[in-house]
Amino acid sequence: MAKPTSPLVFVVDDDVHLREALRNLFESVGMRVELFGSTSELLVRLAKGTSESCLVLDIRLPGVSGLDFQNQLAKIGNNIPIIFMTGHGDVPMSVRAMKAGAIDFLTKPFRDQDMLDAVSNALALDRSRRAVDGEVSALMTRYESLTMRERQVLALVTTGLMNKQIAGELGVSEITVKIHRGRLMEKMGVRTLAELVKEYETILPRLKT
Amino acid sequence: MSRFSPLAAALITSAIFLLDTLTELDIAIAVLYVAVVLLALNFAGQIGIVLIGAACMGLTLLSFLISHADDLTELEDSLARCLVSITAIAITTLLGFRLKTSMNVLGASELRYRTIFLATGVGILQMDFRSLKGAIEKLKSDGVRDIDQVQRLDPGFVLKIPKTVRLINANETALKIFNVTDINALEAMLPTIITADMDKSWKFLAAIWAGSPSYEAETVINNAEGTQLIVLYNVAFPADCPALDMVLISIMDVTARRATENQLHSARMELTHVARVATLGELTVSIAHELNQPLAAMITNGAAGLRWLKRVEPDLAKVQSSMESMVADAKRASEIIKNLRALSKKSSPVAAHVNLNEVLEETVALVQREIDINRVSLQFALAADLPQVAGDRVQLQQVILNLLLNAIQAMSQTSENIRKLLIESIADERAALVKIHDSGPGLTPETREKLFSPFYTTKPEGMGMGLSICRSIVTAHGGSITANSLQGAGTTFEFTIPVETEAG
Repeated sequence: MAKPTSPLVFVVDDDVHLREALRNLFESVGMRVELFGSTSELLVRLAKGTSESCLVLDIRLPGVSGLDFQNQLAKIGNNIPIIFMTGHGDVPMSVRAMKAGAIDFLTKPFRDQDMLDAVSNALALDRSRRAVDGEVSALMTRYESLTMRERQVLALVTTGLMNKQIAGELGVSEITVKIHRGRLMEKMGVRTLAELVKEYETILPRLKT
Repeated sequence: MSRFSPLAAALITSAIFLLDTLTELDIAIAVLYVAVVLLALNFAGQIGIVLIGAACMGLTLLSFLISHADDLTELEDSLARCLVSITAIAITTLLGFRLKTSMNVLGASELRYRTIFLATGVGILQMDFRSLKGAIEKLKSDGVRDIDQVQRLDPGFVLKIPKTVRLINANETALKIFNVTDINALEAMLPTIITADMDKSWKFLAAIWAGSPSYEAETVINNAEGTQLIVLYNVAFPADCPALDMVLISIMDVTARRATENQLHSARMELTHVARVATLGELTVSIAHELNQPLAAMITNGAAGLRWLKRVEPDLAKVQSSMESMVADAKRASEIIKNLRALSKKSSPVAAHVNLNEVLEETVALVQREIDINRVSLQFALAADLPQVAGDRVQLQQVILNLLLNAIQAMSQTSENIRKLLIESIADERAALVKIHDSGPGLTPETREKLFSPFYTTKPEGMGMGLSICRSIVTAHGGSITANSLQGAGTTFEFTIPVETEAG
């Protein structure tokens, strides 16, 4: 009933009965669910790559605590949105979790609507993150199709230099710069300088790493 | 008789003296003084006998001197008669003296035993069982094999006991125990006392049947005032009276002692219960958490079920499975509550078959949160073939709960990555062994020594009763508990509970 493309919720709790209850709840609203008894099992699964998804995580887990796992994920660059569950309202713990970027912090037993809302928010966040990521990747692909010379021209154009200045800088003729500039505008799929600057700023953080 | 003896002795003495002095018969009349000495045995003491003997000898001599003062004829014969008489009197006096001495010893001894009989703190009945013995012998000669057969053939036989036994004597203490003034009143009570406990009466008959030297039992009786007493009694069948004409029954009133024992027992139970409830109090947060899990699952399943139902096309199969899950969740919650209620209830220990592995797992569930928040890594090594033990489940759980909490608390100052709790059960031929090992700092020699003493504690809020109660519980189960510790290498508490045998 849940389509393979429908959003995916990962649940980690050491209590099998609560895990199954959450599966029941998420499936009743057409979400896909995968259950895990421990964070190590989840790590194996996440390494395989995921589509739009979020994580519902019990803060009290055998072995590593939910908060530690949150840090662990951040360290390996996985920013899957996390909703924490806890057996007892613990203010300092929830503050720590929220500061580290958790979507929500729910005290058991939670209202079903609160859980579903939190999951919806988390999935929306994941979706927009993925959209941004997708846009950046597309631009990077375009950027990578540029020649070395075109990349040099792009870098100088976006700093606001005139064609003549760029020609002087690179030690080529102004006409050559014009040709490069026309070609790179075409390759990057933009028509105005303003569009080109915006695109370049989007991919700039990636270029630096 | 003894009142007239001195008078009679005086008259006889005078008569002999007159005859001996005034008559001139050729016989030794003075020998008759022997009768006076013998008569004196009745009234005179040891010294008195000697004095009377000496007086008789003196009178014999006096008669001789008076009758031969002026006449020295036949002096030789008279002198011989006089000497014979004196010798006879002397010998009789000596024998009398000896007799009197041994009579005194006998009297003292009899007095001593009488005093013991009358004044001892044990009630003593002296009884005559000859008729009873005779009745039993008759049954034997009729071919009856044993007392069980008698019980089957003639169940009323036991009621005949009162008619076949006689009370000869009873001491003061016995009268006091039964609250009667004299032996007759006590004898009147005997039938009720003897038939009060039929079962014991048959065992008593069995002891006579088998020729046992004694029979001992404890029983509840009513005294003359109707007060209930618990008495311990011993019926001794002396080997030198096989006819059972003298049977001694010693009786001790142990009512007060039993009452004190009962009070002590219930005080101990009370303390055990209080300690258990106090321990549960420490675990309130953990217990709330344990209950929260099934409740959260139940609410979530309920909400999901409603959502399946409210769909445009309700998915009834999912609704059904949601409700089934809810029922299961509710059952888990009620199991936890049942377990808690058992722990907090005040009840006398019940002997049952207990699987210590199950108790260990249940108890760990109670302290799971303590284990988690203290970042203790838990390891189980449970023997698959652990034999069942006989005992009270709740009390054994209390012991395990205490040891687990102690272990967790012992590691609070230990570095997080080496907080290890190992729970082990080991099957032994005759016992189930449980070991709880922590990686805490270990025990100081001083602590180790006082560990199980009441009111000894190393915790600021501790009552110091936990381990003391653990030990009394384990001991009451016939087991033992010990602590082994290497300073710096943790502590291991281990206890054994004997395996239930076929007989027990």
